[in-house]
Amino acid sequence: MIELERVTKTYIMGGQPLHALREVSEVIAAGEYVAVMGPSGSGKSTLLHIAGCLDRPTSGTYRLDGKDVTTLPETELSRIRREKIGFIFQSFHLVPRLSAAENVGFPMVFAGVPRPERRERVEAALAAVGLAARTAHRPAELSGGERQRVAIARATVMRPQVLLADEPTGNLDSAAGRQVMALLEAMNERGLTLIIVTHDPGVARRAKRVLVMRDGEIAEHLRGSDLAEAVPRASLPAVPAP
Amino acid sequence: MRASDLLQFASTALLRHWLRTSFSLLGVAIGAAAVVALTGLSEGARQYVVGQFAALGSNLVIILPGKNETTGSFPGVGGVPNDLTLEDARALQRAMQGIQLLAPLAMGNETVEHRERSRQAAVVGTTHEFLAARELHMGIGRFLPPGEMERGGPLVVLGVKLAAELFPGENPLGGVVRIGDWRMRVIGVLEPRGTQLGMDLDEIAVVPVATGMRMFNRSSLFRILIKMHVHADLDAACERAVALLSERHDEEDVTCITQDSVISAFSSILRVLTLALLGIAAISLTVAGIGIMNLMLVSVSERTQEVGLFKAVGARSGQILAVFLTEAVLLSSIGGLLGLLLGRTVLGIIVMLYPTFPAVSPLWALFAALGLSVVVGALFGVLPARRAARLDPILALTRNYS
Repeated sequence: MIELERVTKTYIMGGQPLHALREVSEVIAAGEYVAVMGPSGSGKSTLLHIAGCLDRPTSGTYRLDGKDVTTLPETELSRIRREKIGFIFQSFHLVPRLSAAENVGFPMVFAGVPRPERRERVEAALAAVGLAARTAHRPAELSGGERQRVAIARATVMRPQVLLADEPTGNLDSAAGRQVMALLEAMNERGLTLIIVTHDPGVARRAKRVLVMRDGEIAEHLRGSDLAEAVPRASLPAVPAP
Repeated sequence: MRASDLLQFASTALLRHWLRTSFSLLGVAIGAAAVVALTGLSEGARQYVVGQFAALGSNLVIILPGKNETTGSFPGVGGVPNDLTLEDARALQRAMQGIQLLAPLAMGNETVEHRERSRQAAVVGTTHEFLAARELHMGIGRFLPPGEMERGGPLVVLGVKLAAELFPGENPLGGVVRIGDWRMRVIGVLEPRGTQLGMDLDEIAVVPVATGMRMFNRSSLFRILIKMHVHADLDAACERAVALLSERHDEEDVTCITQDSVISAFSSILRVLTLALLGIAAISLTVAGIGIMNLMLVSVSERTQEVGLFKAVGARSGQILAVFLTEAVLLSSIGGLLGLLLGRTVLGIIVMLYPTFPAVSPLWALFAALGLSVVVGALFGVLPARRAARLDPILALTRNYS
């Protein structure tokens, strides 16, 4: 459960304060599927970073599973990121010199998981994203969709409670995008909280809830189904049943 | 995080940029090789010099006329030392305990002639005991016969080179040479020995000491060599000898030195030289360290996104520090190992070219070379590794979207 209470994030840019988030309060329950939309600079990425403990609020309180993490020391935040949160990025962020299996495995390296167990979990995670046959390939030898699926395997291999995806389909063609969305939603159905930042209404409409951000505030709370009517059906990816 | 994982991470990262990795390795290897080779050379020089002294024979006490300390008196007052005479030598032999053997030594430079051949040669006046005191060996014939020091005789033993020059193609034994105004019969030739402490023992002529002193027209001996028994206290022997002679001369006008003190003086001088060379070699390792730092800084900035990613998946700053530090230390220690091999190869080649020169790097130098390499890697790896560990994960992730 993610509880944000009057969370503000202010950057100083060129001597001027820049309000990336203004007193945002929001509760996202465990297992929810939430999309965050909004124009560039509206604060949606900052929201995601704070939710993922990569960044701290300037003021306000963030409780994760009822525990106030706002003031935790850096090493504790690392532990939370390691154990509770999985990140998925628009540009995949795979390590180019490592194979798919090694890319999936290294979060467990930092967590100190013993090698034999690592191998099993890597295989399981890659099988879960349909890449059991490509474990030895390097990122350069994989297609965009395959790379993002490796990234999903990496994000889930530590069995987190929350998946945070920043434009996960932004660099993919629509077929690959559909596959990636289907995977993320399958993870959500297994109980993971899924928060997706996206520009694409076609992606956002699939979420149960949509937060529309503007100027550092949550301007609108919508249901995914509300978006569907506003968008021509042709532009929506047809998602196959998982 | 496990050590094996750290090593694997580091080695894949280094192998990816094998070209620049190998240049950095080369830098460290040259530094480490310099440590090994330079200390090997100077250690070889030390052993060579010490070996030269040791070949003179150990347990040697040497007495020479004159006091080589300033007395503080007016010049000329008590300045001229008394002669060191054969009687003094005999007195020492009688009175001192623990003497294995004693050889008086008179030195001169004379023309040695055989028929139309003539040579300037160092002529050593001494006794039968000289052979054992200097640990020389006879090639052919025999050495001066044992007997009273005062008993001279027209006998000479030649160094091997001198013998060959005066008697080309003949057997010198029984031949007669003229030394100055003296006609002397050759009774033996020394085994080749070569130059020792600046004196070529292959070019000397050895005559009985009494004959030598008359020949050179000297009243004083040049040296008295005393070889003590194996476990004798050399310093005490020196004191005793000086005391004895001072009593005979009514003043302290002789100097006594021990073989050990000379060896240890030279040895310590050359050890300082070794350390100085080690310092010079360490400088080249430092330069290699700066190369590593440069490489690691480039590596960190290239891998900014990777660092951000590591943080996003929950790596602690300390773990990221460890990842990059391991890389630097792995690089420098492999370089150090290569340097050991390189240095030993260089020394091996030197020994092959100059077989008499004992150029072997001491064991501590091998450890020093390797240790310094590791330290250099750790030291110069810290700055880049800290930079990586302190990267802001958000900036690191969002910079240069690829």
